[in-house]
Formats: sequence, C-alpha cells, structure tokens
Amino acid sequence: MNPVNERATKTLKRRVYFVGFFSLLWIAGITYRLVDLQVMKTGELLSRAQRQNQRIAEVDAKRGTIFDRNGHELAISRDLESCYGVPTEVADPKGTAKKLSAVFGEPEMRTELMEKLTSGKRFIWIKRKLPAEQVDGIKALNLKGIGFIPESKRFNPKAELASHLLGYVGLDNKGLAGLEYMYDREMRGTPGRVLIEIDARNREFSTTTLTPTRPGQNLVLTIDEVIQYMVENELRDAVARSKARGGTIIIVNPRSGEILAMVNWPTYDPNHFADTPASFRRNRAIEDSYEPGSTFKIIIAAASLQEKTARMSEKFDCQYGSIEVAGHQIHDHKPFGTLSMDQIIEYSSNVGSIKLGLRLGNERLYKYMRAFGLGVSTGIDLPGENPGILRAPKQWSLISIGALCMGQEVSVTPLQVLQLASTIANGGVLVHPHIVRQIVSPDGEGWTTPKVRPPERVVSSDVAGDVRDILTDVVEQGTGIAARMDGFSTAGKTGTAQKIDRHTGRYALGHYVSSFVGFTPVDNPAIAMIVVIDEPEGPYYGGLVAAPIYKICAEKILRYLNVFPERRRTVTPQVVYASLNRGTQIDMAVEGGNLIDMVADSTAPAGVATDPSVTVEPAATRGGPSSDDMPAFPDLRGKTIREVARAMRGMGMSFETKGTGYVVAQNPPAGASLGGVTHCQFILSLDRR
Amino acid sequence: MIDRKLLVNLDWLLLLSVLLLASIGVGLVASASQSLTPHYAQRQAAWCIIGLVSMLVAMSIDYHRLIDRAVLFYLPIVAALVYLIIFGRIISGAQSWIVIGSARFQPSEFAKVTVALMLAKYFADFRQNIVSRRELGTVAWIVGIPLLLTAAQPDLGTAATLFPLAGAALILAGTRFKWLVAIGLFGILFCFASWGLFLKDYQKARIVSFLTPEADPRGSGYHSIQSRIAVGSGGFYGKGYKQGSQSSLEFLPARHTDFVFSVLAEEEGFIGTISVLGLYSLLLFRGFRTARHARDRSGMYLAACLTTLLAFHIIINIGMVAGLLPITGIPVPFLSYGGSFLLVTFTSIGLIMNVRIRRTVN
Repeated sequence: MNPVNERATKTLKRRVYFVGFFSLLWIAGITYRLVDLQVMKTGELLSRAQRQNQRIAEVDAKRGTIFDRNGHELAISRDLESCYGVPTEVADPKGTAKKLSAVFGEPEMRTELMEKLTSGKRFIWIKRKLPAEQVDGIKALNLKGIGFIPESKRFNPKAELASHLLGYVGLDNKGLAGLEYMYDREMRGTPGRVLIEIDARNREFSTTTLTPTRPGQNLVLTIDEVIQYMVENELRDAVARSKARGGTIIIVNPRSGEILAMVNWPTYDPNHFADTPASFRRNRAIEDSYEPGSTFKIIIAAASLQEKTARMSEKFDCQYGSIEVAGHQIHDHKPFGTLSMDQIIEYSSNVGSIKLGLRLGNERLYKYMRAFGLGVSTGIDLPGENPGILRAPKQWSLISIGALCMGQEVSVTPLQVLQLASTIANGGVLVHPHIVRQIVSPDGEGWTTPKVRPPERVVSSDVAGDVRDILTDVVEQGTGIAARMDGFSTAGKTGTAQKIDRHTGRYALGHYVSSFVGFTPVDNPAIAMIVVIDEPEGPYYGGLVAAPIYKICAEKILRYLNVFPERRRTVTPQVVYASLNRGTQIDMAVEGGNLIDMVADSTAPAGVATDPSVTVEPAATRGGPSSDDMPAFPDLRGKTIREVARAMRGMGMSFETKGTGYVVAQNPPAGASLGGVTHCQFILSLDRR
Repeated sequence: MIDRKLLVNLDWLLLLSVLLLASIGVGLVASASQSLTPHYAQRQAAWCIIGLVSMLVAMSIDYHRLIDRAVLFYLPIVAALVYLIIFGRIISGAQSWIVIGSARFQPSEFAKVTVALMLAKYFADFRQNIVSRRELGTVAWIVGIPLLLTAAQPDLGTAATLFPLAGAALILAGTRFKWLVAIGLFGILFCFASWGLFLKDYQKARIVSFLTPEADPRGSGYHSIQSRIAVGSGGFYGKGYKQGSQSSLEFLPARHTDFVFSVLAEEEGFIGTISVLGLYSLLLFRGFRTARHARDRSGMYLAACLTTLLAFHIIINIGMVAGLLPITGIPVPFLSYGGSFLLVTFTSIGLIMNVRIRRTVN
C-alpha cells in the first residue's frame, strides 16, 4: 500500500470509531434513562401500574336477527346498557348498594351488591342489559365508581309469536332453546373488548373499544308470520273451546318441505321466558310423541297398494266389528259388515286394517313404517326432536301387528305424521321438513342455505294417487267430513288415540289425543297440515275435534296464499266485480249472492302450480277480425273462473262474472279488438258445452 | 467453503452475544404472547434457526464476491418494491408484504442489506479524503430509491432505517461538516414537509403525543405512557418471568413486536435491561471493531454500515420504549417477533463475521 492510502485508511479507521462512539453514546443515554425509570422513579410508576385506571370488559356482540320468509322481524337485538362497577372507585359501598337495589326494585339484591362492591376487584358487572328507565334512574343518582357500557339484548317484538320455534336467549347472549340454541354459533357473533378508563381529574368513566364486536349472522325462516299468527289464534280458540290440555298445528309446503307455521299451545313469551313453566316452553310439535291412532292407517293403505297385497275395490269382511288377534278381541268403534279396501280407511275400521296388516306381515309393515320416517327424527333443524318409538319386528309380540294397525304400540311426533301425509301429497316422495331458509351475513351480502337431507321415494306416484283418492273420500264422505270446505278439495285422515297413563302404563280412560292430518287442494297441494288436540273435554273423536280446526285454518291460509278455488259447491248465481291490479286483487264488490274468494295467484308460493293452459292467443289464429296493432281478445269459452282471472290479469282488465263453472259466453267476443276495452263480462255455467 | 484457517478469526464473543440475545428473544416473545392464540414463541424459535443458517451462508461466501454482485441483489429488491406499490395487498395498513402461499416476506427489510452491499461496492475504490457532489448524488440514488418506495407503502419506520446506512457511509467517506449539517437540515425540512404531505393522522398524533404524552393519556399518548409505566414498574429486580401485570393484562400494545423490550423491563427489571443493553453494546463494539480491522475498504464500509444499521434499530426502539423517542414501528434486533427482520439481522451479523474472518487472508 502506498503512503497516501495508508493515511486514508487511518482516517477511515478513525471515522469508524467516531460512528461507533456516537452509537455507544446513545446507548449510554438510554442506560441513564433506564436508571431513572427503573431505579429512581420506580416507586411512583409501580403505584401507577397498580392503580391502573383501566379495566377491560368483554361485551356481547349484536345477535343476528331472525326473519320470517317475507323479511318480517321475529327476533331482533335491541341496544341496551349494562351497568358495571369499579369497586376500588366506589366511595360508599353500603349506600351505593342500597340505592342501586332500590332502583332495581329488588331489595334482596342489596347484600349481593354489597359483596361485589367490597370485593376489591378491578371490575364487576352490577347488572347487565337494563331497561332504559333503570339506566336513567341510576344515572340520576350520580354514583361514584358506577358506569355503563352499551350492549344489546334479544327482543322478540311479537312476544309469543312462534316462540317455540325461536326459543330464547340467556343474559350472556347464549341461545338456550329453539333456533336460538340450534343456530347459536351462527347468530351469536364475536364478543368484543372494551377498555374502561377513569379520568384522573373528574372521576368519570370513559370507554374505548379495543376489539370491536362482530355481529352475528341473520336467519331467514321458512315460516310465514301471517300464517303463524292466524293459526296461533285459531289454536288458542280451539283449545279453549274444547277445554283441552294443549294442542299443536303444523303447516308445511309438501313440495319443498318448508314449514310455513308451527304452533303449540300452551305458549310463552320469550322476552320473559323464566316466568312460564318449562312445560309451556316445550315445542310439542317435535318433542312430544303420542300414539298416532287411525292416522297411521295411511301407511297400511300405501303399503298394501305398493306391495299389491290388496286392491282398491277388494272387499273385506269386517266381521261386524270384532276380530281376534293372538287370543285378544279387538273391536271397531262401530260394527261394519263388508267394506272395500278404500272404505276401510275411509271409515277407519280397525278390523279391516288388521286384515290388511296381516296380509302384509310384520317385516313389510315395518319396512314401510321406517320408509315413512317413523322411529327416526325428521331431521328438522330444531333442537330436541323426539324420534318417537318404533320397535323392530324382533321385539314385537304376537298381538303387536294388531295394535300397530290401529296406530298403537308406536309413538310419533306430530311432525312425523305430517311428514307422512305430505309424502302422499307429494306423489310418494318424502321431502324432509326444514325451517331455516337462509343464513345471511350481517351485511346482508353473503348467504348460505342449511343442508337438508335429499328427498326419498317411498311409494310410487300411482300408489300415492290411489291413497290420495282414499283420503279425499275420507273428507268428502268419511270420518273427516268436518274438514270439507267450499272451493277446495281436501284429502285427510282423522285420528283418535287413547293416552297412556304415565304411571300405570295402561291406557287412561277418557284421555284422548284427537288429530287430523291432511292436505289441500288435493290435486295440487299448497299446504299439508296436522292438527293435534291433547285431551279435549266432551267430544274427542278426531273427526269432531281436529277436522273443523283444519277447515278453518286451511280456508284462511289458502285465501292468504292466493290459491284459487278449484270448484264450488254452491250453485247460486253470483256476480262478482273484481278489479285486478297487477295481479293482486284487493277490493271486491259483491252484488247479491255470496262473496267468492276470487283471488289472483301471482303471489302464490312455489308448489302452487300456475296453470299454463290459458294462453292469450292472437285473434288471427282464431280467424276473427283484428286490427293490426292491437292484440285481439282471446276466446275464453270453456275456461274456469280461475283461468279467466289469470288471463284478465295478464291484460290488466277488470271483469265480472255470472254463474259458476265454465265460461259459456263472453263480452267482448273472441277476436274483438282490445282497443279501449278495460272491463269484460263472463257468463259461467256448470255444463260445459 | 469455509477454510478451517478462517475459523481462527471467528468472533466468538459476537457469536455468543447473538446466541444469548436470540434465546432471550424467544423467551420474551413467549411471555409477551401468552394470551395470544398463535404460538409466536415457536415461530420465533423456528425463524432463529432459519436465521442461523442464513448467517452461516452469509459468512461462508467471500464478501468480495457478494459485493461484486451487489447489483444482482439490489435490482430484484427494487423490482419487488415497485411490484408492491403497484400490486401489493394492503396488510395491516401498508403494502409491505409479498405473500407466497402461507409465507410472507417484507422486501423492505431485505433492502437494508442490499443497500449496505451497494454502498460498500461504491466506496470500495473511493480513495479521496472527502466526498464531492458526485458521490453525494450517487449515495442519494442508491439509498433514495428503496427509501422512497418503502415510504410510499407507507412504512416510514422501515424507510427511515435506510438513513443511517447513508449517514454511516458518508461519514466514513468523509463529508464536510457543513454538508452533514445541510443533510440534517434537509431531513428536518423533509419531516416538516411530510407533516403536510405524507404523514397520516395517526403518525402526526404519535409525534404530538411524544412531545406532550399526558395531554391525551387514553388516546395517542397511550402507548408511550403504558410503556413507561411498564418499564418503571419493573424496578430493579423485575416482577419475574411471565409475571408482568402490565403486559399480561394487555395494557401494553404490540408487546411481542415493537414493545417487547418493555416486557423485558417489567419482568426482569433493571438487571435485565442493563444485561441486554450490555450484550447489545458488546455486539456493536465487536461490529465496529470488525470494521476498523477490516482487510480493505469494502469490508470496512460493509461492516460499519451494517453495525450502524443494528445500532440504529437498538437505539430507536429502546429509546421509544423508555419514552426518549417518539413511537415508530422499528423493531429491536433479536428480541422483537418478526421473521423477515430476524432473518435480515442474522444475515447482517453473518456479513460482519464474514469481514472479520477474512481480515488476514490474502
């Protein structure tokens, strides 16, 4: 190395040490600071740490809302305030406890509060989720060491409505029953943390969010609030009328398995669930099982036809009301002579049913009971479902098949029986019922659909059709006649089962479960419904107690669902003026005669078929006169009033009708120009030309 | 690749202090992240092992070869930083991360080492006693490009760590005092300008709270006060390992990353802090000594720049924890949780050792 470089290197080395020295100087400065903090000022800072003015509290997230199928709120979360205390800041625990318990109106809380306030803890909850007036009351007292944090509390704005489905939520935001329990994880959200601090000067608390709460997901149910409400009213009245112990009504869309309403009596208010006995909160529709009685005969009919062990018109000797099975005499409720197979079901003959059952034999009968979902839970997304009891043939006694054919020795939930009926309504395909349509993210953007078990075919559609015919006759002329209604055909089955005394294990005399299960309209079912009345006083036959309730409910629901009447039994000529605006018919003027429930069905739910047979055809194909631009008036002769209404709606016209049945005359005539026509008239007759 | 002869010159004291500091770091992260779900301590330990491997690699390749190829390291990093500005996903407020599968890298961390290599390369043949405008301009380019790209992420803390590299290089090369003052003034001016131009509200609040921490004890002054309380309440002997109430009660923010030193201060007391400071001082001393005794200029610049870089991190972070300096997101070497930074720190140590073991070899 040359000398110049040598010198340069020396300078460089000096400079390296300069940088090093500069760095270590800083380290020395920091050391001095650490001595200052950790040795000199440690006492002061330690005491500051001990009386840290900060507390951390965990607060509940806003629980997801539960909506009905049309977006009406069934359960919401209301913003409330929770009261907390910081015991170290409370100057007068005794006085504070006294004043607080006075505001709560619970003097017995005083000792508990006193204990909490003298505990020396950094943070305590005084009471969470308080009503506004109590919050104001406490705030007015201006107590030291007491503060509030906003939280939210579950609130069911419609009180009892659908209470058994929705369930209720505890104070800690935990779902305790019903959907609140079942979907707790989804609806609960993530709790957040709040930092509570005391200002050094004016001793007031302030809160800062450390971790924000994340709201839970919302549920959209298959329930229709309006139907639920109507049916709840009907059931309450019916139970009161028959002085029964309780009752259940479930309505399902048989095509989709969507539960439209599920109603139990007695009921309770989830907002004050603790005030009602636990038995009131039970969802009888899925938790209580009973012996189905005659409704069970639907299975025998379907199985016999599917296995071809009996034909519809085959005659059976019903032996005047008595048959011997394994040494036991079994009786009919009234003696029958010879009945055809369909009549056996229609009149609910036990003797006939047993004969059908014996032909099937144990194994085959059991197979169909299983296939129709007996003895297993339906898989509905509600907690606590009872699978019922169905023993395997190995465990049967000799008499079992006889008992089973009468719907005894087997226990089912109302929902299982409804599933059975809706399988028939659905052409032999079992669709598993469900109650949650969607789980929607808090912002409403994303959503998921809960998984439903795939549908299963149980019997062929021909067999289902035959059983449907039998069940239609049950309502038209059999035991279920009280369910017959104007305008709609109904298929159904009554059931009357003796209750078993819990203590003796024997049938209790005079205690019955009356039921009716069915679906309407028969050809294109919009609803399937079960009505179960528990221990009615007075008349107890299902046909007398449950069937009329079915009728009342079904009429209201079908009207609400805008299902068009398919036939009419009254022949009195009537004139109805209906103005149809965009498919929904609201005002109805009646000129003489009865009001016909004539409603457009554009808002009908899925599963109510819209009849494609009516198309507005251009007049040209009909060969009538027409203007070039205006569509021509269609030929509606031979159409039903329902089809007419749809056509009219399609053209945005009002119309009036005379008579019932099929259109025999129309004004304007077919092929006429539509220009300026806003109102049409039709004459209907029962005789199709 | 490592000649056995080379090991004679291995700086065992430096290695010892590094191993001790890294072990203390894993212990502190374990204590600070007790209530946190991921196993940060395990990850930190894993990163230490990766870091040690990286250190060995950085040590074994002759630093001349590395410095010769400095551009090959520098350009990809600049490219990565440009990529981040254009396509980077924003993770915790900045586009700092390149995500490959489940791994995340911060190119801005690696920029530190490559800038040091570039400066060493540039000044290797600089034989004047004092720099001219030309050298000043070149240094400004080398440091300025990654600095501005990192600042734009925006990650001002990491960007600022590139300043001391430039500073160290310029001081070594010899800069007129008035120029250093001018650069200092420019820096201050830059701060004032950035107040209006770049700084976000939270950054302004940090500076305000540094100047007057008690004005808003719950707001922006919060971190600073909590940290000071934690340090002070540790006292002389500390509260004991995992016994720190300040940190376990979560009053301390970012306690396993930027504020990990205050966990040490609270739990191990003055004894702990002074020991760790001692280890740091030893580390820095050995680093600067390596620079002084380096075989040539390039080694000298490399070791000095990297040691200054480490010193800067230590001083800024502990100064912040002790309430001497405003809050910046600059981690402390070996103690703070963070993979990329740990890797870069170990690599820097490896390069410093590299310079040392080759000081007498011809």
